[in-house]
Amino acid sequence: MMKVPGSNQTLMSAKTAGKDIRILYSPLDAIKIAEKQPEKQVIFLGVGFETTIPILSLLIREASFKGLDNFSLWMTTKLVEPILRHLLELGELQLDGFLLPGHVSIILGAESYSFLSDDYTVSGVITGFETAEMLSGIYKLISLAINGEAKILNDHKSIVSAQGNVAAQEMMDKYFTLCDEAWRGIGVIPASGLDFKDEYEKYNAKKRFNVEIGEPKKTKCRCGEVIRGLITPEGCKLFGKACKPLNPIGPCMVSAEGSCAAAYQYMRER
Amino acid sequence: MMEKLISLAHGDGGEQSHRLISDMFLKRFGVEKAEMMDASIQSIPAGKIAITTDSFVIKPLFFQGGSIGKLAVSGTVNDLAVSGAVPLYLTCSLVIEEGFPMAELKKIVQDMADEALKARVKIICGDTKVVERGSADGVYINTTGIGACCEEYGNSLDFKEGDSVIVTGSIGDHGIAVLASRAELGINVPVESDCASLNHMLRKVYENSKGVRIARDPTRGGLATSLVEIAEDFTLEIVIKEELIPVKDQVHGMCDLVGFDPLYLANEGKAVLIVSERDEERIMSQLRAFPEGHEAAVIGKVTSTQRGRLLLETPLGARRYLSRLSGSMLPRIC
Repeated sequence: MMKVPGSNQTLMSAKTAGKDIRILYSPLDAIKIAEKQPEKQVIFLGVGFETTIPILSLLIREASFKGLDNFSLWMTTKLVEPILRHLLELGELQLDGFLLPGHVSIILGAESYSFLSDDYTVSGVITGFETAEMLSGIYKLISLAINGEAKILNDHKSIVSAQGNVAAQEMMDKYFTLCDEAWRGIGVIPASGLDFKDEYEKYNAKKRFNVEIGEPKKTKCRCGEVIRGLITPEGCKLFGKACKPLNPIGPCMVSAEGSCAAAYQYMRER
Repeated sequence: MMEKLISLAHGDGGEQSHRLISDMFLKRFGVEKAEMMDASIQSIPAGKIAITTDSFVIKPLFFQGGSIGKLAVSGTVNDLAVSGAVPLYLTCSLVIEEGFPMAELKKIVQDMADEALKARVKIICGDTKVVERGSADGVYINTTGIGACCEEYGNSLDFKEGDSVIVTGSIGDHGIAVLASRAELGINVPVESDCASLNHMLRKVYENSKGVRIARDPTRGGLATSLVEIAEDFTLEIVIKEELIPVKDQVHGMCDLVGFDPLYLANEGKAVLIVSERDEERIMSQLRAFPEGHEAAVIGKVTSTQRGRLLLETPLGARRYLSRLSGSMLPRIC
């Protein structure tokens, strides 16, 4: 997050220049900071999918219990179902199925993916992240595709249940409501993000602070096409030249988990 | 000593400075008052000398298994030892923050003296400065180490295909111990820093074998970074096997939890060596005879002298590149 390039700088360069930007292991530490330093406005950056959203709900709950007026949250979270639907409806690729993310699935539950098979006749296999777990998931997905079956398989049963974490789902519902969200490299997708419900607006950093969000700088970055599976990282002219892990232009190269960073680290011949 | 806290006066060169130096440092480091001049005059054997310098800014100052004091000595000693030199003398410069507790300084200096005794090196000169409250984060230590090189043994740098890669024990212990000691995570991790002087063990190895191509102490950046540097600097293709690399269960567990890779975590009491295939067995038994080397393991091989790259063979038999980290995983670890 610290190294994602904005139009002019990164959070890391702002921190180096003296701004009070902190990396926390637990989001709840943000509440502790707000309590300890009442003279400061503490803004927590809410990113991620449904894995992290319930914890953000917890922050609002804590802030409201404690009557903190110097804490707010900048919501920029995204939801899994809308992006999967969007990718399928774009129809750019002949998709046989999805490897579904193990951690998000802990929250959502295996049943939440039935729309893939019901509405789109496409398979999904929920996998873990370890080597053996990924191989198992890939094997099962390929088998489904070869057999022409459209099914959702839970290959991570040790921690993913059919209904998911109901308490976490209720927490998300209590504080947030659907909103349109801009996806980098893809554009705005309706009802694909979460915003504050009216009664919790006071914790909305976007409303509390008068911030103008400009248009992102235009670059030759093709992350959007990489994410949508249209090109490989090598297909982007910037890959490995102007865009490298130490000097990333787009999100795919910033995160060690991004397609471009992974390709750069592991696929490049040396 | 009357005072409980270090004050600016202690760095001024006046009466308090003088008393601090004689009561705190000279006694512990075994320096005679009569020897005190602006420079320390010492004898060194004829031949080449090895010189290294290091600064220690570790946070916290006291951590599971060690302190900045112990680290300042062992870290410097190890830099000399892995260069094939016999460590002889250390300097130590301290920059202390105003208000630093005298009792803690005493402990740090005692740790330095204790480690110097263990390593059989002499701390021969030093400097003390005190800076205003808010600077220096407690204490910073800078050292210079001087060692004597020997004609007969050292790092031959004469790499060959088939050379063995050895690590002298489990990796990642120091990095995790420091993280655990910071208490930010609120997790109790039973791991001690491996902080230790390796010169006696390495000297034994060097004296008894001409097959040591190179040795490194994998501190910041960890084992992977040290090997990447060696691979690139000397154009070697090195393949290491993941399942052969010793990693403590607790270190694995913490790494899984926090998202670190033990290959990139700092070690302060380990060495990585590249040795000739022929000498591998003998060197391994010499290492294993020392407590610092009892978990020594052969972890890989040099597979080519035509290409410069480091590869990791996973338990599944696949190979992947290891490169330098871009950005740090953990700040202020040494």
